[in-house]
Amino acid sequence: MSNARPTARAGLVLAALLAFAAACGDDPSPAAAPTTAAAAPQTSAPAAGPGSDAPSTPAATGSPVPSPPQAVNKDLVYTIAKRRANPPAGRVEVARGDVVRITVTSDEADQLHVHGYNTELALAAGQPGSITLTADRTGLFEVETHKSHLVLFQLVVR
Amino acid sequence: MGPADVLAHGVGGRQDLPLTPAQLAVGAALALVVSFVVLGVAWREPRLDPGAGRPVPAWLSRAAGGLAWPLRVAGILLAAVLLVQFTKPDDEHNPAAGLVYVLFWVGLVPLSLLLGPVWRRLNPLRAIVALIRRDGGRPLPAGLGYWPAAAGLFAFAWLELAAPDRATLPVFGAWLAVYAAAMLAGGLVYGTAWFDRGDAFEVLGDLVGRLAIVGRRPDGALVWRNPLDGIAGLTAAPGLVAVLAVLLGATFYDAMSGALFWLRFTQESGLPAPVTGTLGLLAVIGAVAAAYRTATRAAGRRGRASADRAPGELAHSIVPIAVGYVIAHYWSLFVLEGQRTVALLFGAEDFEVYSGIITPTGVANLQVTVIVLGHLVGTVLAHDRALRMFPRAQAVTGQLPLLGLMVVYTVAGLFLLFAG
Repeated sequence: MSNARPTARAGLVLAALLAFAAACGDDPSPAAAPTTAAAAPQTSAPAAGPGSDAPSTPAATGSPVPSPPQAVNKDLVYTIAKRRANPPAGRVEVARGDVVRITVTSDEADQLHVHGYNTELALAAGQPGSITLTADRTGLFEVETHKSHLVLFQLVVR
Repeated sequence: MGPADVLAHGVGGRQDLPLTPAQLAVGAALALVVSFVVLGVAWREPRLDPGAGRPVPAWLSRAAGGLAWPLRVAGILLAAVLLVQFTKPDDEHNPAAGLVYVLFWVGLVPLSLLLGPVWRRLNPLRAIVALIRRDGGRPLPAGLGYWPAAAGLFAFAWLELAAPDRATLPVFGAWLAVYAAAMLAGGLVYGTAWFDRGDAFEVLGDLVGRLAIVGRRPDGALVWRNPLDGIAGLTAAPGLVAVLAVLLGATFYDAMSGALFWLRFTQESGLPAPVTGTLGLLAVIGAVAAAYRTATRAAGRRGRASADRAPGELAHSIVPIAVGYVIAHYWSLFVLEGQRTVALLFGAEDFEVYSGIITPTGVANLQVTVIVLGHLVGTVLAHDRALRMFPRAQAVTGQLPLLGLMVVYTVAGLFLLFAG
């Protein structure tokens, strides 16, 4: 078996690299570490409920139905005029569990949509409309308008 | 809102968190280290042998042979399950988009990686042709090679990433109908051999399936084998490089479409999204192909071998890089949307997706690991092939452009996960 030796050697190199990768992966930037630790216990709370027939928790509410007053961690205000958004598209980072309020005033009637959270809000021309949601899912979610096809920002939930 | 949400970019309303700068740096550093370790310590004589492998036990071989018909029937049943969805309302509870884009398209890669090229056994279109065209059909033109598969793969990538309203039943239903008609036409003219190199999904399954630990030796025996031996058996053919460029380029483009710089660029341009999407997809595939051609031709020249033959001879080494990137990019989508699709299929519309295993650091670690692993396997494959192609004295010099190419692919891929 002339193949055995190099294969074994490649395997060894591979194992060493994987161990290295795993070791490095465990200490990402110091800023990220506490967020992750904080998020971990919450992961199980809403997700793990095979027996409990909890009604699908409304993660978000449009402005017409105000939920009990919550402390808003992130307040975002956008205006759309002539199919341009202000401020221009960027990334907004929040921690998991933060309450985010998005207020948009558009010069034409439009539909605001938070991807992944499946939240929509009809915007009347010239009238500010706002969505308040609890960022309970990690990931990157685009917040966009459906008629003018503008991505207002990317919501990054860590 | 439902269908649009299934397909924000490619698929899924949720995208993975961007890599942190530290994760990007670790991945890039690992790729560099891997490259020089392989160059420095790996074997000095070509070792990989596509004819290698230890036959599986006789009962397993018999069982695999006996599965031919059950698998064909299963494939036709799966197609029927998909077709039934087209009779249902086109809303967010329709699992058809998830069936096509997540379970079938994304799932094809892990399925083939584990079990080998099984899609050719399931493919309902091949089954139909096998029933109708029993005489085998005409021989395939020599120059055709993998070009039909490359075209099919590009057409699917365009559907998934750039087509307007791509998650709605009429759009991907029409695409599938045209594709099926084209494949049946090819099959009726050329027999089932058409699918080996003409069908995009069978070709993808075959390329990825060569990395499975079980496979068929050239003599037809079902064997356990070193995946490196399996993939080394991929032989150059017209269009093979194009297939790989489309696969890698489309996945890169999918990652790029979520990046802020691309988003700003497309919004500033004022062009409709399908236009910028199509142009972006073409540009990224073109860049991947141009980099490949430049580097492999340079390797051929520096290694005192043929610059014209080098791109085809080295194509197999790109397969693991593409596979690593596909897994890194689609892993969380496959887990999350895959669950949801299965739940919708069984009518469980209020099913809560289990997301416990998709943690931010877990996904990032997996992404960096599989990308670096793909890089390692690709580098080893290129090294072994270089030893075969080049005279001893030029073996190391000849490899340098290849190492450069792979580092560029890997770091670009990691950067797109950082930016997107």
